[in-house]
Amino acid sequence: MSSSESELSDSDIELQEAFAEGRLKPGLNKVEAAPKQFTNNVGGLRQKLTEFKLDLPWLETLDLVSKQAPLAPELAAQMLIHEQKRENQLKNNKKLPQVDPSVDPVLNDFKRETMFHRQAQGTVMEALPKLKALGLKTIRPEDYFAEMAKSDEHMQKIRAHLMQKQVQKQRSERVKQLRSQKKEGKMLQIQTKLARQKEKKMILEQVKKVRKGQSKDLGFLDGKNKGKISDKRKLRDKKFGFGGKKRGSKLNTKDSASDISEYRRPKKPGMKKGKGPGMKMGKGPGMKKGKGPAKRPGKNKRIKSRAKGKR
Amino acid sequence: MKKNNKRRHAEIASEENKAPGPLPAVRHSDEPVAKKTKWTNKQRVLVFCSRGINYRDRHLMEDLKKLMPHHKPESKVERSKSLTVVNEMCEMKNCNKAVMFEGRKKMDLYLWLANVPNGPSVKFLVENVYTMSELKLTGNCLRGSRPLLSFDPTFKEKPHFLLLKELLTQIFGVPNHHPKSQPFFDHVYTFTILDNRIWFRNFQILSEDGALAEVGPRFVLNPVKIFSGSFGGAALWENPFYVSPAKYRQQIRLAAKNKYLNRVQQKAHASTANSGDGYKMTPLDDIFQGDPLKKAQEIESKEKEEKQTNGVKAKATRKRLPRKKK
Repeated sequence: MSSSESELSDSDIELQEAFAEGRLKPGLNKVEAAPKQFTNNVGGLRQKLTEFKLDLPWLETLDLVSKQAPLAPELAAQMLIHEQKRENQLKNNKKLPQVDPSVDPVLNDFKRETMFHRQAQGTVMEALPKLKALGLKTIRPEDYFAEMAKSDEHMQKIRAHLMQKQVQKQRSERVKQLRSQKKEGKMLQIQTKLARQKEKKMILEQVKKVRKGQSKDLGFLDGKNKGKISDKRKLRDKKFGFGGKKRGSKLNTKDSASDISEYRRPKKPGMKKGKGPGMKMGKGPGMKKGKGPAKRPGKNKRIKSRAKGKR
Repeated sequence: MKKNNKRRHAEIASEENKAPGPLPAVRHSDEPVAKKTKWTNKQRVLVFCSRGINYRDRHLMEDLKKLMPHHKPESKVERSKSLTVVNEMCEMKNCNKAVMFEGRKKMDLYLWLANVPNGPSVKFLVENVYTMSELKLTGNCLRGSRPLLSFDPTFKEKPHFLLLKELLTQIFGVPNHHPKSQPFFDHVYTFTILDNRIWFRNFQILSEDGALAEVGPRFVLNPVKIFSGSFGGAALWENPFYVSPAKYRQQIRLAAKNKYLNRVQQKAHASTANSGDGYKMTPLDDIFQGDPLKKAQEIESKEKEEKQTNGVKAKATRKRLPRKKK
């Protein structure tokens, strides 16, 4: 106890001394350390700079202070897309830390890198004309082979990596597409099903009405809603039949057998130039209007005419 | 044999004696023209690291060596308290610039850039290192072609940035007509100041209209101190925003350590602050709580009590009143 007391008293004495010197502010029981002074010797820096600065033409150093190049429209579009995507991501997933897009680290990464990219672009746009003005060639010829910073092997690896990424992207896109297609198909299926049900219901209702004698319209049975049928089609349907049972439709029935409306009495043998109602007018080439078909002359007449012709 | 040798020596000696005579006035026509050296900006950079460096940082150093044809290699240096030995090493290797990587705890990387005989030198903390072998960096450039050095406009604003710019150009710029360099311009280094740090990027120039692809490496230099001498001397500038990585990690650990304590304290505080009933919404809200019959009886008894007490008071007052009237 005594030692701790003595320590206490020691610290008390120290504090009292500090207070007396004015280092201790009222309300504090600890000597406040002065804030660290950071050296910034501007004069020294300037002098050092002039000391070791190289006074050489620009070509020797190739240094440029350049502003960022204007943002390319496609890059701007990409940035916008990126921003929107990120926003959606944050909106849809509440588990992600909700951050303001201006301080979003992911977005900032992209923004920062584009900033560097644009700065480099600005420098290139400025420096290459300058070099050309000095009469220097900047582009490497195609057949100039020299050691590169990255080996061919490594570049192959990079290419493979890129390809793999692309394939992955394509695959995911395809899967997405398929999924959406499936969804759409399902929707369509449901829609058609509903439409059919509705139609059936309508027909049943109308049938009910007809049965009860509320309406006599049977048009719904023919499928009134279908498109207009051409006259030609109608005629043909009448002629050849349409729908329904075809077998035995051409067989005689009792009615058809007893129907004698089309029967005409045969002509009398004496009537040659008949204008009877039963005479059918042929349309063949050897026929004249108003007369019957040309008759073949008798055997004797034919022989005679042949003899005449020979002579 | 011996005699012959002697004779030969004698002949050579006699030729040597003849040589330093007066030069012939006329030069032969087929004599090659003496070469003029175009290589004026003779920078030689000693690139090396101290022992105890991380593998990734070592790769970064190798990448820088690949990109700098004017570098001279040096084997790893034992860690020592004073770095003044480096000046002698540079002198031995005939270098006037030095780039030294210093690894600490296999975690942190410090970078010294120095102008060797008489300063200045800068100490950086290197953060966010990506080497050139990163697969997402798709560009490529000639080994030893001269880079364009692109600086942010903020480099012109403050004296220490100006000094850093000069030092960076002298170290990273490949001298014109360096024998190991290539005569084409196919990459750009960008140095950008952001967040009080210098961000380094290396882009390949794909086409002259400004199409670029990143080659790498990437790193961020956080300046710590600028010294007037090389690897020593008076400090010219100190970074007020610099926090050493060890301290940063300590802060994180402290925050994690106090997490539980903080939570417990908060809970205790909340329980004391929210104890008891805050305020009653309506005085008759408790009518509908519990059995209605019992409640009705209670209320009735209460009312009776009140009436009794009121009645007593009323009687008292009544008794008094007539007296007063009188």
